[in-house]
Amino acid sequence: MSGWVLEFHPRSPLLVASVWDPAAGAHLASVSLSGPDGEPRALLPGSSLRGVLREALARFAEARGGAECAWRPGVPGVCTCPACRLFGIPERQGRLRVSSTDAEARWRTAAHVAIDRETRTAWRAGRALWTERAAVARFEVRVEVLGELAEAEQDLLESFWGWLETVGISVGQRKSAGAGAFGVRVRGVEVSRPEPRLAPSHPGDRRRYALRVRLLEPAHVVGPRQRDFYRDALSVIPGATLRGSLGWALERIGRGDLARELFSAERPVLIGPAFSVEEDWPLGVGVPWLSRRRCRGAGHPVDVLAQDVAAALGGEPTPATCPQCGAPLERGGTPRPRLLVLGHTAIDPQTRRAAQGQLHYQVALEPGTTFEAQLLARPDQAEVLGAVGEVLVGGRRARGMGRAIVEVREIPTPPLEERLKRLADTIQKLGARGADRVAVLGLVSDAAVQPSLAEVVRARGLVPVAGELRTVERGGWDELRASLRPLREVLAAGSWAAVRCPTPDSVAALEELEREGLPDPEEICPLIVVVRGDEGVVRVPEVIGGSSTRGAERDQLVREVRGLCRTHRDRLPERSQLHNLLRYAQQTDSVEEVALFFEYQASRRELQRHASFLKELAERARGRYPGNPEGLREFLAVVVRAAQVEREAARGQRQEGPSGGRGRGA
Amino acid sequence: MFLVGYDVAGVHRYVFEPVRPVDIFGGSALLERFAEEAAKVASEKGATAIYSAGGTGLFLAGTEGAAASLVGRLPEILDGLTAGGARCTVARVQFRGDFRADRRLLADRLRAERFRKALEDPPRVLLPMGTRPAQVCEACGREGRTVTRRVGNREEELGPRCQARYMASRGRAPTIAEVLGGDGDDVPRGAVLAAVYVDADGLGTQLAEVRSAEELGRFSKQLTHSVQRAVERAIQALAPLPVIQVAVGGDDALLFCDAARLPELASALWEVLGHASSELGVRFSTGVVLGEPFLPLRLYFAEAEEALREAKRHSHATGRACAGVRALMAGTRHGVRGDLLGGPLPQEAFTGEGGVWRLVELVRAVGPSQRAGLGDELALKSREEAALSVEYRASRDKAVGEAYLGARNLAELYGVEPLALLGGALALSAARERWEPAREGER
Repeated sequence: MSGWVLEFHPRSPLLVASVWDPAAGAHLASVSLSGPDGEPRALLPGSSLRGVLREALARFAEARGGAECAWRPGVPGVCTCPACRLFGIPERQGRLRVSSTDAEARWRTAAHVAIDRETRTAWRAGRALWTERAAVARFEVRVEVLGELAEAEQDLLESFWGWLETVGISVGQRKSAGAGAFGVRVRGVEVSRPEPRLAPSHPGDRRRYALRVRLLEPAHVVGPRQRDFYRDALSVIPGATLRGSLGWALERIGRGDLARELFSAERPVLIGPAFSVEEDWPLGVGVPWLSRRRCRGAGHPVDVLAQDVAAALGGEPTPATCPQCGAPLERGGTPRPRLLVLGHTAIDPQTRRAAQGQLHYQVALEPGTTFEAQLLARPDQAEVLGAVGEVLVGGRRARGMGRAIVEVREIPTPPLEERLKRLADTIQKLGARGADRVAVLGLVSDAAVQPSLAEVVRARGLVPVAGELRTVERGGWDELRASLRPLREVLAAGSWAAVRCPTPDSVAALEELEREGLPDPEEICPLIVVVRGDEGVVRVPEVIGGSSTRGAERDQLVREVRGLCRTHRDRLPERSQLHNLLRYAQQTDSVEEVALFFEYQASRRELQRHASFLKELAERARGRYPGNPEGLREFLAVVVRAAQVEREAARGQRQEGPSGGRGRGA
Repeated sequence: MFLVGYDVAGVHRYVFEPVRPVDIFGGSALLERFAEEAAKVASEKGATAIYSAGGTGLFLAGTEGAAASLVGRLPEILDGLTAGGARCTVARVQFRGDFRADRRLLADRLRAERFRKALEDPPRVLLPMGTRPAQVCEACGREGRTVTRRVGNREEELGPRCQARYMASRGRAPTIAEVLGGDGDDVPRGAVLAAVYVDADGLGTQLAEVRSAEELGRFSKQLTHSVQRAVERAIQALAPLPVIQVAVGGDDALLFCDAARLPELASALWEVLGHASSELGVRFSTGVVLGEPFLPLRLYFAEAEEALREAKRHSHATGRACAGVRALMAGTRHGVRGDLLGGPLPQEAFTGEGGVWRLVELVRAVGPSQRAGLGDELALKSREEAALSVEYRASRDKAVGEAYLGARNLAELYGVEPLALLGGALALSAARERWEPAREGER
């Protein structure tokens, strides 16, 4: 598989997929992600770049005598111009995939005003004042070829990249005002993928595996279309979507046969939905059990499974308060994945600007989030799935969405007897009768159970006792058959049912049900269950992803500088003098020269009062920042602000007298 | 005597299933109508309604026959009203004199009945395999099209459930644009929508302790009346600007209004609910969400629920009615800030001289370029540097200085971070600012 890497060098700040950002008080802020250090990283969505490249290629091809693009947003019809062939249209997949990418950025917030065309001054009467937060960042974008390109297409693209390198490109909003301009460098790459080992090693019995999916790009995983323009973002990745992603990944490397063998065989691999988890969580704890509660006090996590079963068996009623702090319990404790809201539009090829009525917001799962699904598979099948490596999850795959890494690991499961005994002991302590014959079936998949769950358990000699079952809608698009799957209300993962196992045969049947699961005739929602023991509750954060790391080094520097200014509070130079020092430091890269200048200033008679402070600055410059003029400048910039603040504080105190009081800026 | 209870499954899911406010309003109106119908049917059968609102109801029937008839009739009524869109579970127990114990038993029966139905029911097919997009209801995307209706100059094809919703709301629900002061479907440029969700704290636990049907009935009536009065007062406070009210429970209120008028609406609500709190011994927490007006209301509701949950936690910890404020839209939807003001605050912290609303006004008085700089500084990853930069700016600009002093005083009173408060006030001020160009219509 071949492709190109496009390097984008910023010529102006970028404002793309902008939304309102209350955190920065900006009316429009370029879309961002949380970096590992908590610093926002600029995101360049593949969908935006793809639109710009598509439009530029259409113009380029036309200028070279190619066909004019006949596609119009919202108008059905097929166009065969090079841009539509390469980048696709809603009715037909293109041959290129433009990835999304994020990068470290400098953020610029600026106030803007509209100009009144009559008075030719700021339109203050209309209060058309707003702030924008734009990113200055250097991006690297991967453009992959899906399948094969014709020689003419290859030639056209090579010329097009050359043209882009000459003229650059503008992306995002406010392009006419100069925003989003980039210089471009293009280099070709060969993308190779490891081929999964195909020879089944040891078929063996089915086992339970965790399929971890780490998103590298935003993922568009959505519910049914509403009002022709809106689809809800799901907070889980349905099992059918995962199955499709894995199958498609195998198809892309020419092993579609293997995909069919895995998922359409007599005993297919069964996959449940994937829930967001933290990377360091143990395997298998991501299921959002309905028995999970959280207290309203300190937010203690509590699982009332055993209490609910005990109550149904005549034991004590389920407590409504937290056993640790006595605060009321509420449903919840299930983390949500981080979601991204991206603003986007379609470009009208005729007018070459945003098409009328085509401004939308789309909600996507944020890259960097990890999801975990449970699957039942033979070791050789799991081995193949584990070797797939990279997949594309959800929709809008050609537009830089859905790239993810998958990993398959076996979930350690204690023996059934041990789990049954552990639960029985707990239930018995709660005053229930006949607890030793009770098991709890926990659904780890959204299950379309035919004819009903009651029939399935009764057919195995199990007697339902109590439980909590919820339903969820599942359906979707069948890529293999190119048709809509049925949309059904099925039992939701996280539901549970307590059953009595009256005979040894029924225990064996229970074990088989856990090991084998039940496939769904429609191939969407198989039944995967786990017999729950009285497992502990993992404390989960409310929102998955992100980082709380704050600029600790910077905090330390600011604290030190403030301490220094406080010590010299009455001997601080005036603001203009400090600015003078900073300007001097900005003009030379020699730290020694700057330190010498400080000493020179300290030696001047008119600055005698500030000499001790200036000498200390010189000492710090030599001691802390040798060979680091940038660091020294940052230090001095903090000094300018801290000195002003401390001077004001001292002035406030002097005005209010020795008894004190808090002045502004103290 | 028999106690009969009903519980509508998935009220929130049913109400917020469609995208358009008119359909959401219709779903909510249908559930309200069901509550009224249920009470009426109960009365026809000689039963007394103890309460019937927000998807739950409790009745006292004189005979087993009346109770059984009620158990059979209520699901039919709901099914008829919503065209199968919402389903309810009904159960009965013999009333043996101990009201608390019998209600607990009834709750267990309802739970068991819900479990039994879910266990026995086969998967419900909403759209069969191979359904083409042209055959699907345009409003919800979850049922087949059966009827055509005319909206303005175009036709729209709906399924029976959405048709029932539409018929229930016709002519009564304002559009989002109208809520924001626009005409028809034209949303004023830059307007921000607010969702305000108010709910009583720990009411379930409190009601579980009520010892007689009369007492519970009286309490429920008073509570419903107080919430209704508060909503009416809030709507009056914003008149002639309309407000969308959606019923999602018995003791709560969910209102959608123009964010620029949030202070007036919230103050009016809290004033009436404050009186009700002292009369009934119930505390009301509030969750507020601000967002872009083009998003489906269900996203507002989900975020408002989160804000309310957090506010309730603070109310529990402090013993005071708290309010949390969140924003629905930012580059990253969750987690960057959570609560806009750094955490829920007691409701009295919002009103009066020196309160949050006043702080918002102080921030509005800051020049736009200073505000832009302030926003940048508040977003710095080093909190020490953010504090220093804001203090520096405050020492150089009078308006920033006053806003910062206001934030510090408020933060000191309520034990929160002043920078977080200032950031929240900045966001709230942006929501107020965005309204004005279009409202004044000076161009």
